[in-house]
Amino acid sequence: MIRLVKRAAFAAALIVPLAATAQVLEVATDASPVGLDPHVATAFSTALVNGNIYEGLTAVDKDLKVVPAVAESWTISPDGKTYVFKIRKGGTFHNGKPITAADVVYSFERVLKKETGSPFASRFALVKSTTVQGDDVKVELTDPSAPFLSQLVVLSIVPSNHGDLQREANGTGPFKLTQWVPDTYLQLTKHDGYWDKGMPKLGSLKINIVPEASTRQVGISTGIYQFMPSIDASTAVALKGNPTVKLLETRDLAYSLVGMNTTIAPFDKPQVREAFNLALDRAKIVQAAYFGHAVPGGPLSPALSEWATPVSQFSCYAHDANKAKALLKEAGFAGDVPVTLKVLGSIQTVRDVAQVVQAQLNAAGFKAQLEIQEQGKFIQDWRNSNFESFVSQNGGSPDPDDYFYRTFRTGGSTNVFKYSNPELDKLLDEARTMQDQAKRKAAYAQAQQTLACRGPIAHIAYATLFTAVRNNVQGYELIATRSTRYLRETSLAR
Amino acid sequence: MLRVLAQRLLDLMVVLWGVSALVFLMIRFIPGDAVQIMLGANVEITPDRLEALYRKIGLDKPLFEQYASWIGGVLVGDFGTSLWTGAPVGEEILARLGVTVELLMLSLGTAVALAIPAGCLMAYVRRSASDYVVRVVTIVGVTMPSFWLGIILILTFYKLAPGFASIGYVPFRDDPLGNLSRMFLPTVSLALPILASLSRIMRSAMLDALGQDYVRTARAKGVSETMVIFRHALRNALIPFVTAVGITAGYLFGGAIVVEQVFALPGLGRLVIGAIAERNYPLIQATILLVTSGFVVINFLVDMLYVAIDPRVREA
Amino acid sequence: MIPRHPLVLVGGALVVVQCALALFAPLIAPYDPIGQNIINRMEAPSLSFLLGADQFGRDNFSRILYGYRASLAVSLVSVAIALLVGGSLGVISAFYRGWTDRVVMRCMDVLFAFPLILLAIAIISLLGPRQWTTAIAIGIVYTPIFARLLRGPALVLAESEFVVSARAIGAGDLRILLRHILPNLASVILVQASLSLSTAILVEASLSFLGIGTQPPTPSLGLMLAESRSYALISPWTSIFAGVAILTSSLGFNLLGDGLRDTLDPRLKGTE
Repeated sequence: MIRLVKRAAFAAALIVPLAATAQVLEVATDASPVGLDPHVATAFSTALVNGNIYEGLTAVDKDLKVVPAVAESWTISPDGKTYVFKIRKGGTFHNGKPITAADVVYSFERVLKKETGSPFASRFALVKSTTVQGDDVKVELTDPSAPFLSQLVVLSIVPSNHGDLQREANGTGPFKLTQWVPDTYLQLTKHDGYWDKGMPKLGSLKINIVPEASTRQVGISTGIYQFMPSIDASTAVALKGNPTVKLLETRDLAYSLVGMNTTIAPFDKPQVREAFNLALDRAKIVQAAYFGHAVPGGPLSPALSEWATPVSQFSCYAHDANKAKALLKEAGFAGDVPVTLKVLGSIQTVRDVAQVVQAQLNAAGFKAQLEIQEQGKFIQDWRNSNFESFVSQNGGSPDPDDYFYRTFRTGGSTNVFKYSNPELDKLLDEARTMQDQAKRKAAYAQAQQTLACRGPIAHIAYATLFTAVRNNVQGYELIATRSTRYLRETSLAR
Repeated sequence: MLRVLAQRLLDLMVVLWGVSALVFLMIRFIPGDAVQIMLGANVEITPDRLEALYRKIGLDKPLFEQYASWIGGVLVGDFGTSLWTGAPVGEEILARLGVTVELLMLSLGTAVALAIPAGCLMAYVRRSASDYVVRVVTIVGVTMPSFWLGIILILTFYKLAPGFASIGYVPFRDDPLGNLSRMFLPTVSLALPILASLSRIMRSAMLDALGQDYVRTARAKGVSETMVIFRHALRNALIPFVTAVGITAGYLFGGAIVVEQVFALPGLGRLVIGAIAERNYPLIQATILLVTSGFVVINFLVDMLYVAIDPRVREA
Repeated sequence: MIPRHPLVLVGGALVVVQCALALFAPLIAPYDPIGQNIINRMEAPSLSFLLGADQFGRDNFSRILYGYRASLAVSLVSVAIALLVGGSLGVISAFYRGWTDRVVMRCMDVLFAFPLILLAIAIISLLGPRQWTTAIAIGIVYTPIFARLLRGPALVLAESEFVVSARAIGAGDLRILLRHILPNLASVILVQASLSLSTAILVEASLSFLGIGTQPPTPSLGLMLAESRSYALISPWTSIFAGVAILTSSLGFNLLGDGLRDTLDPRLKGTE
């Protein structure tokens, strides 16, 4: 027995120096992942972890272009209804099983199956069939779908022989989950069977959960942490000028917003919604809540430069408190209009935006009251449309259809505002099957005009997305979708 | 005496059962549930798929059935499994218990070690100007919010001595020095408020003891004041002091919750706050039941101590 | 009669000054406590901003004055609730003993055993975050403390000679409770109430700090601390002064309670 222990200790002594040369990146983030099943768990905090464990057939790069991932390449039939994906060879899942076409078909089926309960299922409602064709996968759609390739990013490929995915992560990504101490850290280690040989460059990622903002700030300033993804403006301002920390920045697809319930007073009246927009001084909000690190935005992020209409073309974006008051009068309100805004309390920026919005509303004929809510309650009220209005932050998607269709179409799956506009419905139905890019752009330009002033959402601002890294972190690139895909190309300078 | 003991034990069981029912109901009535949190805001999902998710973690069953199956498990030592990691809840709690126990022991140890001499000193100089100064200082300690103290400490040390502003946790057996240096600031922020209250208790206990007949007799016999304090009064003053330490240990957990949050320590406080935020029901239930049981049992022992000491209570 | 105990004087003075500041906040405050002007963002203390300005350019001094209002109001209401509900329960169970006593006190034990902050979080989640729900939550949390505290002395009083003789001459329960027992508990109540006020201020601050107490933009001391802490590395002024304000308001009541304990009831010195 003793000899056995000694031998084990000897072996450990041999291994340790080797392991020490593998680079570890210390990451700090504020919240723990909630569930790991990539087809079900969709909370923000889960994405940071799962984004490095799983991949879809496609991925989105730093220019928001669709690039191959598990699929090496693909062909599309002329009618836009049949896709054939060539699956990569030579890679394995984290459990050692080689990646095959059958696994891809299995993953599609798993997402679409009702028992899985996947929220992504509705995005793939157009999928008619998926079949194995030799080493390839053939996907047939009922209608052509322009955003299909970019939507495939979220359909993580899992092996057909997986265990309980909520507990045992098992993907094709560059890192595999090796340890999870809840609310403390997650250890992700290099996956040796990754299809892209030579990647990842790091030996492991240690994702530390640090709830207190000032503690994270001190942590990266002293070098305890080396990488802090998606930090808010206040943290960025605090770290600016620190010679040991680099701030990477890009325009965020996520945006702050005020959502309005279009079935209850006062927001059932379109004039009130327009008055709301006029009451807001977005430039001031950007200054006050984002320290200037954001741009006012309309329904689409300015990061989507091909699609987004400049805000100067929306009439109600020119702040005018008197015009707002006049519109409220026109809508039949005599005194100040009382409104309650429920606020997603877990994000500092959202809380700050809410306070500035409140002050501006109260100067323009509204009497606004805030209710800061804990995340769980907020989500429940949001899903049940139990609000007059709310202040929140939403993640955006690289294709306009993905966002517009589910949010603004009558009966859309995230249309919690109960907004219904038959004209817009028709426009959105047509636009999603258009193959002609110019026509599609014109359609979405029109949709943006319709939605900007009298839609159910007052879009406020798109922040600068900051990520703080220590000076020795190399090769990382930011993506506006907040994906941390480039961690596979990241390394630490000696 | 035996009858009283049996009755109190029965009461203890009743209280524990009450706590289990209260915690079970309470967390289920907090709006927002595990499935909603997992999905996050702004996520599309159809009602039938939502239902499938509830069924998976057993939240579709009637409340009573859920409670019965949970409490049935608890009685045979099975606290269920964590919703997200799938690990047995008992294991997850055990893994975190060490950090909190270390923090509590260090804070309590520091506070007790300093409170005894401080209390004696205060009793010795009683009713003089310096007594009031010391008392005001200790009251300032009591009224200092520990979360504020924690943040101020982190920032101050970061500005003045960045090496000391270590955050996070390493187990003692891996790196004793690293462990202690990381525990330093959390211990200070937790120990300061209880040091203040314990030293005041020590002072009162000393004053009481000094008023007793045998102390007067000793003084009359010409024993020096120092001897009176250390040989006679201190020993007797320690009895109520130890009782107070027991009760403080129970209270301390509340402070630990906040301090662990500020210093990113992976203890029970973090576990329970995280579990509440994620609505990890089995984990919340077990942690709160554990903490309250500890508290109730300490109180029970204190009660029994009183019964043993005070005949009036015994008859009642 | 004003007790001439130095702690009572100092504590009382602190309390009176703070109550006056809270009461006359609209007259004293140089600025609108919720008026934003980001030109003044995070100003250091100066002649125009005595205690500096926060991240929205709001004057810290004015906000602290109004913050006293919120903090004091919540703590007063919560202690009143705890005293009324908990105190009555404690006295009643001491007076009637037997099953009433056991049932009431076991319920109190259940509440008492719960970690204080967690209980408050749960109650506020149920009722929704509003200023008065915070007060109710803290009130419920403190109820068992008063019940336990008053039960002991009430037990002794109920057995005392004057109660026994009052009963012998045919006095009713209510009369005995109000005329004979309650007045004799006044000093215990006074001491515990002021000590509880001191800690209630801290609990309110912790709850606001965790984001579930007073709602913005209403300034409360805990909320100011919570909102400013992410900015503490850039501008520590709001955090420091809000913390100091919490400390002093809690300190006032604590000194007062401590002093009262010394003067009113020497037997109570040993209890905490």
